[in-house]
Amino acid sequence: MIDHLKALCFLFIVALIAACGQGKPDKLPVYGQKKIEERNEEGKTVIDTIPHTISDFSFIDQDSAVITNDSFKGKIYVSDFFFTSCPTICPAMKKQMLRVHNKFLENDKVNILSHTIDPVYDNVAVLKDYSERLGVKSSKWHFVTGDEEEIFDIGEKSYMVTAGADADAPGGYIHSGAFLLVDMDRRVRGVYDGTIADEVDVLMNDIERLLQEYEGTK
Amino acid sequence: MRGLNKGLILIFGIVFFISCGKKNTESNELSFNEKIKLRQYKVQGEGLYLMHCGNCHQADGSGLGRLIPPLSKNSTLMNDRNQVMCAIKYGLEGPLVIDVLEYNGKMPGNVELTNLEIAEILTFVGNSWGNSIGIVLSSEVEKGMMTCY
Repeated sequence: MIDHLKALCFLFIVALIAACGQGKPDKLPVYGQKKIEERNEEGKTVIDTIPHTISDFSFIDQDSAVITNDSFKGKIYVSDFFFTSCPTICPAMKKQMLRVHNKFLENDKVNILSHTIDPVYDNVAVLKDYSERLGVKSSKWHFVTGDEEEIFDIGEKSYMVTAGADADAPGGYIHSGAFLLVDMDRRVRGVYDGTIADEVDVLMNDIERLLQEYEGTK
Repeated sequence: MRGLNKGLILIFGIVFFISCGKKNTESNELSFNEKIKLRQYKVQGEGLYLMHCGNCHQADGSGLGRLIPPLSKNSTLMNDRNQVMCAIKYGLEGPLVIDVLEYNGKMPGNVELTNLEIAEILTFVGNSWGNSIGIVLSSEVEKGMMTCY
């Protein structure tokens, strides 16, 4: 009798562990302030929460191609801010971004968007030379330049990072070393310190999770 | 006569061993002190390296593509220390060939570093990641600094 009870208990525990193990992993959070919108739908007032999304942009990459939000349609991308003559955290960030680039080299669904915050110096030719010297061989990594105001603006408002000119900062610019993970619906789904290898490990894992999330909905 | 000979050889042998043994302990003592100094320089140098150089040359000295040369197994570092110490202090700009690869960047100088600090950085870099140039003393940096420009 006791043996039977023991066996039952054992089975119960096994079943419990198996059931828990099958639970879906948590979805990645959606970053940013939600907007609450009131609409009139068929005479009724409907209240909707709108998640924070990346606003419209148009920049030019190292191959002189125009890069807009549509360039990342059906893709997720990692975004950051840097400048080629940066003497501080950029090389460490780029070393880490190279890891992301190389890991997802074969996956067209993962792209990278690096904005220069020194667009006057970092023109297309400078960015082309930089990307080649860095060893970027794929077309998934876009180094973009454009209107200075637009770049600073999208950094602050859309990606929620600091980026701007500062005469007191080394190299003349102050900026964050953050990597932002953006999903197929223009939402920021992760923020990571791009100078720390461990955080970039988490990012690479989150990229897989985000891809799975989209696979699950199809 | 044979016994005397044997005795002489034995005595000679003993004297030889004693003298050699003494010499050995002396040089061991010296290298022990040097080892401690080398270690001190390396520890200090590592901290300074991470603060002033590691962002670009990376914490593991691997550099960044053809943008920033690696310091691991870097032959310029091994062969032309004066150029390296001048570069640490006053920076470097323009085309540069290191181990067949061409670089064309701009390395900022660190004029605030003292000769001792540069010696410590060089000792750390010069004895890490496959480099082994031994200790670099601040007196060597002082002399090397005269060759800049």
